[in-house]
Amino acid sequence: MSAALQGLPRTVLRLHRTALLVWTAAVAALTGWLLWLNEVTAGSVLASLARCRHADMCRDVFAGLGYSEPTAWIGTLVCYSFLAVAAFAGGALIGRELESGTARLAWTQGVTPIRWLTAKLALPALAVTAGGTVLVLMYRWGWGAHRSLMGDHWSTGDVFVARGPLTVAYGLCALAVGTLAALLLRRTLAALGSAVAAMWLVNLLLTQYRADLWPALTRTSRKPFTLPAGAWQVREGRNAGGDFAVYHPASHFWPLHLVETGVVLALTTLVTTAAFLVLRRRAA
Amino acid sequence: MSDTALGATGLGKRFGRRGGWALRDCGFRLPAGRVCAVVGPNGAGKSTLLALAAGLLPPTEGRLTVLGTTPAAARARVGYVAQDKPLYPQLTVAETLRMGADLNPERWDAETAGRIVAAGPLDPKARIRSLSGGQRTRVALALALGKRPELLLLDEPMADLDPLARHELMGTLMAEAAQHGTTIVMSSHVVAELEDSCDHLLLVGDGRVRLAGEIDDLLAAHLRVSGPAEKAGLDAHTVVEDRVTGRQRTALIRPAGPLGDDWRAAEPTLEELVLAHLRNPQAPALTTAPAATEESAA
Amino acid sequence: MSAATASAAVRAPAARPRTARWLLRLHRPALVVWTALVILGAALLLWLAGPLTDAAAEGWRQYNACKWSEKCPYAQDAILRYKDVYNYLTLSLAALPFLVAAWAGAALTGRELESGTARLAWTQGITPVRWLVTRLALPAAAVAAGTSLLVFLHHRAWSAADGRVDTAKNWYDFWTFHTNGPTTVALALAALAAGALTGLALGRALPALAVSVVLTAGVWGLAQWLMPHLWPAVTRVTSLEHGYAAPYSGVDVAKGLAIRGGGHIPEPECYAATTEGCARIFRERGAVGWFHAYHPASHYWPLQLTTSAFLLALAALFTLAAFRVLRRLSGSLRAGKGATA
Repeated sequence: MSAALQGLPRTVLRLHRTALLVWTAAVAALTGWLLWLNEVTAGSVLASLARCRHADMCRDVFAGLGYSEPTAWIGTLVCYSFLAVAAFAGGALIGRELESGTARLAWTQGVTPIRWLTAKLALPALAVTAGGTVLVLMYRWGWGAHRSLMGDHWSTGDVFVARGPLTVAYGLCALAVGTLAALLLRRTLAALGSAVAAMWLVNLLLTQYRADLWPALTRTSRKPFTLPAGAWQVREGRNAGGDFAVYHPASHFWPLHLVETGVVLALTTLVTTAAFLVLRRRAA
Repeated sequence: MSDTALGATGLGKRFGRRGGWALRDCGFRLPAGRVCAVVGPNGAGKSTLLALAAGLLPPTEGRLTVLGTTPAAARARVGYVAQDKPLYPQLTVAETLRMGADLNPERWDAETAGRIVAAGPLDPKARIRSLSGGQRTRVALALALGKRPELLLLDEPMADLDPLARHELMGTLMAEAAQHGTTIVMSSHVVAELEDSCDHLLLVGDGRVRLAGEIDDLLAAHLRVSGPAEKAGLDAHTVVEDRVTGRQRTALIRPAGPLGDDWRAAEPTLEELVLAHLRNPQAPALTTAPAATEESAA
Repeated sequence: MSAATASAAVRAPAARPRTARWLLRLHRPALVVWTALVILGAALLLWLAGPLTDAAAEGWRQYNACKWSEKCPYAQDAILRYKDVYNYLTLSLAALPFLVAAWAGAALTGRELESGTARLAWTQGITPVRWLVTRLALPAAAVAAGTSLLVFLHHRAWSAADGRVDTAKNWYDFWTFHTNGPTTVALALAALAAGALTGLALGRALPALAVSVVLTAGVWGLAQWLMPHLWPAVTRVTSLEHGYAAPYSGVDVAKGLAIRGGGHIPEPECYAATTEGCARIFRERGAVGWFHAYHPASHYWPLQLTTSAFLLALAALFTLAAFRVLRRLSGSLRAGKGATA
């Protein structure tokens, strides 16, 4: 039994070698692209913009797009990487094994179903965490290095997720949701599709209600006022006391981020427990 | 309408440009109305041969005629059951049979198909994915037989069946052959089972045809001889296998003339014949019904 | 041989196997999901074109009625909601072809080859050609119909906001341009063909899913790159004092300085203190004016139609390739020929 356990991580690695290679290549490519943008592209863009400042007219205003557009795309890819993880978990990781019966092969080779699922989830969770951490750190560095060239805000959907552990949390949640979908449906393509749809919905819901996760500040005044720099304005209007604005200052980024991370991780725990319960009931 | 159900000349199949040859230089002729057993070890090329005959693979070299035309043209008149018996998992048994009826609109025999499925007994509303291996075989056979084919190609059909089901389905197949003159080509490992029902044999080993012809003719062409170990004198005949155990020498030969007195001779059983040829791949092949000969009068 | 077949030959001409019915039965879940998506998208687009646009237009009217220094009460929520819903719907519509590619690669051909049920069909009375034709024709009809409806409703919603909602996207905005016209439909059809081809070539469901999505993305990129060049652009040369002829009004093809002799060079950097200083520097370089090649709004339909034609040509190419792969897989396509060598 213990011999089977030692070999199990190696078996999981061998089975999903291709997926690991693709994930590593994607992380490396995005990291390299961020490095290129910030070391090479930003330098030349800043130089031409600097020359620009010494003239009344500047004909190179759009040089900055060469930096800001790719950086925005990288943010989107980092944020939505969890959709690919959901597809992998529902499809190749668990779904295909249950549909084709190769899971039973493992279960009759000296590995209990619970141990099998644990090993199946441990390695991808490690890869998602490691890869996600690298991406988040690189993106934080890249996003913050040349703020003058970017026009987005810390509250933009993709940027908000990609600048902290929320990316990794979404990835782990996608892993859990994919596993539960595969255990319930036991068919590859159906599990793949429903896992991706479910994770997309979860992200959509959380994005809608993101501003409510931490108490916002309200400012009311009869005289016109401006919000502090970097604030995220949630709502504004007029009431009996004059004009009011509901906003999150820049210092609220980490509380909002960590609360959402907590929500996603709680969901992950719930879904993972459900998955193990379903497996215990099905396979005993 | 040809008298030959299946005929091959120099047939060869290679997978990929640098793969090994699955079949090489195969030639045989199977007359219509026979029940032919395709026998051989694993990896010999039996499945490849049947897939070629079903028109599912193109041959790399040589020529294969099925029911007088190319395999692709004959596909409508040929029934085929693959080794893994593929079926649509999301359909029910009844829907699978209805699909067969819809796809073969003028040839479908609903009674036969229904009878085979009902003998299971199989719940017509059960989904294919919930059936056991033997039950799936039954549905796959029902699909193939419902098509009322002139030639039936079966790749290890009895592998999943219990002895009772095997006996019963074998009976159904033989009845089919007798009633409609269907030619049946069946590949199997279990020689003893085939001995009673089949009248034609195709032995495939290492991608080549080793024996082809009527079983009676093949058995009559061989002799199992035994004698003292020191005795020689078999060089005049074609020796398939020659074994010495202790002081006894046993050999399987194709006699080319009269034997000496000291030899005890008997007609071999089918199993002995097959095993001897499989154990000795260097023995020359014997085809009593080669292709490209003139059609014999029925 | 038997009496049954003899009499069948005497009877009416051969009945054709009912392949369409079985295709629908086998892919019923996919059809249900597609129909639900189309209905949901259509409902949301109708909501966008009607109440949401009206509310946003009202908000903008209030905003524009304000004077500069006054405090301005206006319905900001409605404007933001319009913007969010429009963006979500446009991006979802643009992503539909990729969903089609994934399904076509995985479920339409890949899974059938992987599990052997394709062979079952080929030995049960459907020739491989017929099998693939049915598999391409019926989904193509469903995809084309659904996507066309959504694109038509999207164009209607966008037109309803034109002029009334100040921040509505321009006709040449990247995502809006494509989801307003037939290019998205053509891409969906090309995606279907690409998916079917990868499913046949790879023979396995999940790799075919991944590869067909990547292939469709490549086709999309190629179409984007080619689009401005598929129709002759309007070229204007304006004097150095004026600036570009039509900035921010169309799809740009080329921009720069027109030089003596007819050609044009890319716009060089100019860091003089005044406009005249730049003009002087440019004249020293040999420039005679500003060069701008672009597509104005009147080129909208020609660009749409040529890009769609390009994508449909790619779809046809993928379809041909799929039939070639099918021939290699099954040995022969037709069942109608007599005995040949």
